[in-house]
This record gives sequence, structure tokens and C-alpha cells, in this order.
Amino acid sequence: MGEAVNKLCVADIASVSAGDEELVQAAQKGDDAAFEMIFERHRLRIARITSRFFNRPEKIEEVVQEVFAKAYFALGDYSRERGSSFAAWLSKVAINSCYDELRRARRRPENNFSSVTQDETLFLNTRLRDENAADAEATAISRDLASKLLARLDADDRFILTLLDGEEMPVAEIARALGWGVSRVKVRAHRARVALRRVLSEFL
Amino acid sequence: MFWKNQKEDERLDPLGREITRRAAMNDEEIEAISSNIGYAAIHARIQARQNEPTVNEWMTTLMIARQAIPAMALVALIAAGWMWLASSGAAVGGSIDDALTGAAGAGIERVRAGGTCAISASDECAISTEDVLATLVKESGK
Repeated sequence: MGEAVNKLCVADIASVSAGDEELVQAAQKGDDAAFEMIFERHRLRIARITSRFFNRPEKIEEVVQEVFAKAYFALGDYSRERGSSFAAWLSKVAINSCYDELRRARRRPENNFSSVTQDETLFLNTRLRDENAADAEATAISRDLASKLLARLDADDRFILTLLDGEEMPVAEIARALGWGVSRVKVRAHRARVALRRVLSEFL
Repeated sequence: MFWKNQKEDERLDPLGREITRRAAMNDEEIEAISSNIGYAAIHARIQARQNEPTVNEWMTTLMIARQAIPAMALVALIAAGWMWLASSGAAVGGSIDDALTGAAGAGIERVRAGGTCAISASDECAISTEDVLATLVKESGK
């Protein structure tokens, strides 16, 4: 599923890139209609990226609005960047905005661990003990439960795991998008995996 | 112990990856959310930000400097306290014995006034105990 989403994103970028440059140039000169067209072209893709980090629709809407507002004021920076399409640049703005928002909201998580029901706890326990259960559709983890478990993680951990496993982004690409070093991404990823293991082992 | 942990990690990691993937919304949901976002809201956000009063750069620097005031005050207080302790310690700690034997002033010796020596640490200009005694005997003889 993650692969499908990722492929879809790449396809989206390819289809919307053509013509972006003209619109960006017009928007840089103050053409509001051009920026509105940019928004229409990229809205779904940015909502998809944002939805990887937040569950509540209102939150996603708010962050998407913030991404486009930030992009509007940072359009001048885009022209100075070499070798990346506008869609890739906008994705970078979106990822960074999500990261900022996750860090800001780290003390008020969207889900609470106490909301993991007894049935879900039992399900997880069975699933964790059964080594052959990974492929069976009947034992698939629901999105709700997955969200609850991820919400137990620190914002940084959730963020890096979502990029790596959810979006299936390579380490180098994550490093580029966030302006981090490759080793920093690897260290963060390792820490995040250890944290997730700790969360899961509580259900063993 | 190590092998046990590794085996457990191998079991937990794929499940962890599955959890991260499963947390994603499906395309219909994302489309529904995306279609709710109107450009008007973004335009309003941009307008609001454009109308925000631009903060003077000097004001920004002052605001940052203001945050450093408590730390700077603490450093100044510690330094003042340390200096006060050092000066009062020297006044109280200097005993008569030290004054007589010159232990407190080790390394710096008084030298003959009027000679080529001023305050010096060199041995050739230093007054010896014999010199002091001779002077005292001479003075009392008068």
C-alpha cells in the first residue's frame, strides 16, 4: 500500500510539473490567479503528504493551508534552487511544515494510549505471539489501532518512521528534504525503531 | 541474551513497519478532505500575514538580548561573589606568622630601595633574614 502511495506521488509530481514554472513565475510577480492555479494543481498531493502525519481532517486542512501560505512567501527561494522541480520543492515545504507542527503539538497528541481497547490489546498480544500471522489478512491491523500505537511515539520518531516506512522515502532523500545529514537520519531512524519496539513489547 | 533480543527485534520490526503503513488514509478520504480546502482560506491567511506589522530588526535583536539578561546577571553575581570571597579571605587569612616568615608573599621579595632593584623576584636583590636582623640591631644600638 505504501509503495502504491509512493508511486502515485511520483506520478503526480511528473504530471503537475509541466507548466508549473510559468505559473510560479507569474505568482512571483504578484499574480494571485496563478498562485490559485498552483494550489489547485498541488492541493491533493499536499493533502496526501499531510495525511501521513495527522489523523484529524481539520488538522490536515489547517496544515495544508499553512503549507501554501508558507510557499507563497517563500516562492522567491524556489527560483534560487537548482535541480529540483517545483513539485519536489513544495513537498519539501510540506514535510518541513508537518515536522514543525508535530513538534509544536508533541504535548497534546491526537490520540491517547488509554484509548487502546481491551479487545485491541488482546488482538495485538495474539498477533505478536503468532509468528505466521504477518501475511494473513484476517490479522491485519486496523488503521485506527495503528494510529493509536503511532501516537504513543515521540513526534520526531513518528515523523521519521512515517517517511521511511509509510512514504518509503530513501534515507538520502529524507536528509535532502529536511536539510539533515544522512547519519542524523539514520540515528533518528534507529532510535525511532527502538521506541516502536518498546511500544509493541508492552503488548507481548 | 543478545540472540533472544535480536530474535524479538526481528519479530517486532515487520509489525512496526506494517503499523506505520496501515496508519495511512485511503485515497477517497484524502480527496474528500482536500476538496474541503478552499483557496479563500489560504488567501485570507496570506492577507493576514501581509498585514502583520513588520518588526524592526533592532527590536528583534533587543528581544533576543533581553532573554540573555538573567544569565548575564547570574554570571556577574557569581563573579562579584567570588571576588568578594577572595579579597576577604586574603585579609582574614594573612596571619602574623606569615607576615614574619614571609610565607604569604612567597615568590615576591622586597628589595633595596634606592638601588637598581625595584619589586623583583630575583634572589640577588632580595633582603635576607640576616640583613633584617642586622638592621634591627643597628637601629636599637643607636
